[in-house]
Amino acid sequence: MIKASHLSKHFKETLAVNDISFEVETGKVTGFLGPNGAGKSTTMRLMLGLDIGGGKTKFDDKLLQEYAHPSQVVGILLEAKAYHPTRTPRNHLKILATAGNVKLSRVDEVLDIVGLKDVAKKSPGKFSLGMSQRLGIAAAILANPKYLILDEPANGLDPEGIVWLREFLKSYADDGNTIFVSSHLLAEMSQLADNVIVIGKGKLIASTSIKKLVSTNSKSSVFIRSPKLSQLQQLFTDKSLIVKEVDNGLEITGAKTDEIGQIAFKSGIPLLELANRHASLEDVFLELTENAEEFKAHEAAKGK
Amino acid sequence: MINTIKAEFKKLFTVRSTYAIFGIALLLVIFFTFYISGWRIDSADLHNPTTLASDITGAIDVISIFAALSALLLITHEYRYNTIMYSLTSVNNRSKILIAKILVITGYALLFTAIFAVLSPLLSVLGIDLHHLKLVPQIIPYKTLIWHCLFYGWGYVMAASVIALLIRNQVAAIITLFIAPGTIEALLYLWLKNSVVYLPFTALRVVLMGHPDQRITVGITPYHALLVFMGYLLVSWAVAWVLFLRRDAN
Repeated sequence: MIKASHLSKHFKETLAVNDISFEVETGKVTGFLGPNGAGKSTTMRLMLGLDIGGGKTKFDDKLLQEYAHPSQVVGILLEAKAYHPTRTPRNHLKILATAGNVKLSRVDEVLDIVGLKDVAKKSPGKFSLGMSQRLGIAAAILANPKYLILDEPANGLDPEGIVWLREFLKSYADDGNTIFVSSHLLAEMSQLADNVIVIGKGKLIASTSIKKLVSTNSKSSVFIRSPKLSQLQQLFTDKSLIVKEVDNGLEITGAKTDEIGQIAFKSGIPLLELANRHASLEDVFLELTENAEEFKAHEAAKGK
Repeated sequence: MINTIKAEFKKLFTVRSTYAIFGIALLLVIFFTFYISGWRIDSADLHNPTTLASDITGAIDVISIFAALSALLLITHEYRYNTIMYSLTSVNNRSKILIAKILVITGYALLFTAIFAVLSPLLSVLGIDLHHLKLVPQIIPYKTLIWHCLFYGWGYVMAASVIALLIRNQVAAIITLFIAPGTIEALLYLWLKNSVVYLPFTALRVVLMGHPDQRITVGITPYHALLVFMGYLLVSWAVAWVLFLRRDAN
């Protein structure tokens, strides 16, 4: 288990990370979410001791400095293009393997896993973002570490690459390893992560499982379509239900599909569609971080 | 620790710039020693018993900045391409990285200097021979020459490394390396006059060549110059070390 306690970081007068504590469960994929500028990358760097700040992070009750070879415990991908442009991927990984006391034969193995075997001896200066991400993932899993800390690993990957990454990370976690991954792709995260940690403006907003987060932080609603919408809207309003016009229909909060159906039936109003609407991780994320966005688009610009 | 040193050696020898810089230094030495000091040697130098010794110090004076540049790039590449995060997360103590870099840089500096110290007189002699000229018997003070050259080469590289560690920005560090010894200290001569020998790079040149500038009448011995240079080097390395441990890795 990763246990981060009281992480904090100042950049001059800005408090980038404000006394954050959380736990990352072993054998699971934990998503790390937050708006731009929320402090996700800084938190990850603090956990690894790359940034100097307050707090401690323990990996199986030990600080990273207490391990003889930290890279055998934690694999990292914090920036896709973290390699020298004229050093071949093979040499790049050989250096990491040497520094981390990993067998050099593992280099070709991981290049094969991430699909870069054919370009192993080419200069990576002109690699696409997707190829760079694959090289970063190869570096992260080089020592077969128990923990992976990945910052936006799906950035730049094509759809096939995203599916590959999802399957790979899931199987890596299934082997008993722990993955802590940040991403802006919320739909992707909802498919990948078991748990989620949400931060905003450097503060912890939520730390729970995705299922629990979605069920407790957002109300479900019922969607209906009917040729007599205005009559139905009046009926539901009279019964103190919250009614909103959406997508040529009504979204009703505060009642279940059975009750809505019965009300319409008793009033003799036909329904063309009656369906439950569950909030997505994206809905919950937007709700939770509504007031925690550092850089917000102007309302008028959003509408364009 | 051995792994970290091996990794640092691999970092140095797996980038194109190391070979390109060595190649440029080699071409310059061939041009100045084989062609200028050998093939086109003037008659006064043919009868000078210290010609080859001067060729050696001259070559080391010119090419040490190239070894220094390679060392500077070894450090600043880490920050420019953010591979420093891998370096720091592969060890349990940041000082190990610094010690490994110092050892690798030291080894490279000594090897680089030794290669060119041997190569430059050989190329001069070859140029002279091919031109069917004859050089008078030479006096080469081996012991003095060896320590002067190796210390100069090592000192230059260590100075470049500390500039790289303190500044971290690659372009700014390269500019500083190129203007500090020549431009800044030359300008300071206008103000400091003879005391300019107490500035780091001037002191380092005194170790290699004696008085670096004929205008200086109050000189110091190469031993004193060594102490002056080492004073600057130790203080700046101490500051760089503390900052390396306390600064964010980016």
